[in-house]
Amino acid sequence: MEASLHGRRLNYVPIVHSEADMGSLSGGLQKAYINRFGEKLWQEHRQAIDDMWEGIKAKVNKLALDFKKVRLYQDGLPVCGKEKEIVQQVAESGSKNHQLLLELMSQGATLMGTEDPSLLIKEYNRLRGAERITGKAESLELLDQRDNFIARRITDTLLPEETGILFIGLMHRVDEKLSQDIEINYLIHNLPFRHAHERTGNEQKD
Amino acid sequence: MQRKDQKAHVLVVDDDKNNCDFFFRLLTEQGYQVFTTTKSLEALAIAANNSIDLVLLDIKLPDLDGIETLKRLKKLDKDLTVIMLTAYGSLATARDAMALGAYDYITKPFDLKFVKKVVKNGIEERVSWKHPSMVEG
Repeated sequence: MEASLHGRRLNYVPIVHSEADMGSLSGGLQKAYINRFGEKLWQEHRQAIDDMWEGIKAKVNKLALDFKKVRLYQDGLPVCGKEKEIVQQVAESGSKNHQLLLELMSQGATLMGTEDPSLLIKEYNRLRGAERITGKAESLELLDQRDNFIARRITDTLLPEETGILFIGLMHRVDEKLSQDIEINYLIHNLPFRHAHERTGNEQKD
Repeated sequence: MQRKDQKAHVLVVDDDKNNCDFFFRLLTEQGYQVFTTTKSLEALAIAANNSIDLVLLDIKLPDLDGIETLKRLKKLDKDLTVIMLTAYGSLATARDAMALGAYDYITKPFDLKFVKKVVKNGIEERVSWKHPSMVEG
């Protein structure tokens, strides 16, 4: 599924995050999950996320892309000059998401910093409870700001005849903010919600 | 996983009767007691009158759509495990399904081994929570 002549195409991959995707927050999130649902469900939850990534990987491979013309965009990856190091570190901690990124990069795809670092710091502090962003409206406002940045980033960096792949949490709405000339293909294998709607009081973290 | 002296109950709701028949055979072989219907309203009646543990629910249905059906099933039993199946995966229906408490959201065409695994996990979680003293092994 290559970009049409002079056109740009984005494969939009909605995902459910694993705790391993969350870097330094992962330990606390794992503990909170186990406290709430138990060790057995934690293991099943982890396996369910891994299975989702196996399904995504199969679907991406089926696209038969020329990876030298592919740009990878990733939820939570700041524009900072150290994108590859970050991905390697999170991949080493067990994130199937980031392991897939490395695999696609080894086939020639270009990794792109995707998010505004200052907004990610706000999100990190929100998840830690350190920021005074406790209301749903404020959380949605922050999500909206992040989505605006991500959409601009893709619009500004995805070149004619290139294909992008965006791995992004389900609650984001980046697709609604992209330039009209970018053709979007939604790529969903499955989404293991399990207890996602309960985890943070009906507010899916993203 | 089975309850002592009782099989786990699975309801399949798909507008395509061939799919219903297929899942009936597949899941019966797995040891479940399987109910099938091509209509949402009938599905709600089955769920109301039988102790259903898990529902495989198509999004596209002729009477009520899958999301509305999910909503009403959850009103009957908020802990019911519901797996959405869709040939038309979209962000909107995925978000709605998550917000309403769906267990998983799977797009067609799907891998049968994978669906069997998700059903098995969903049943185990449901049965071990609801009937801990009745679970074997």
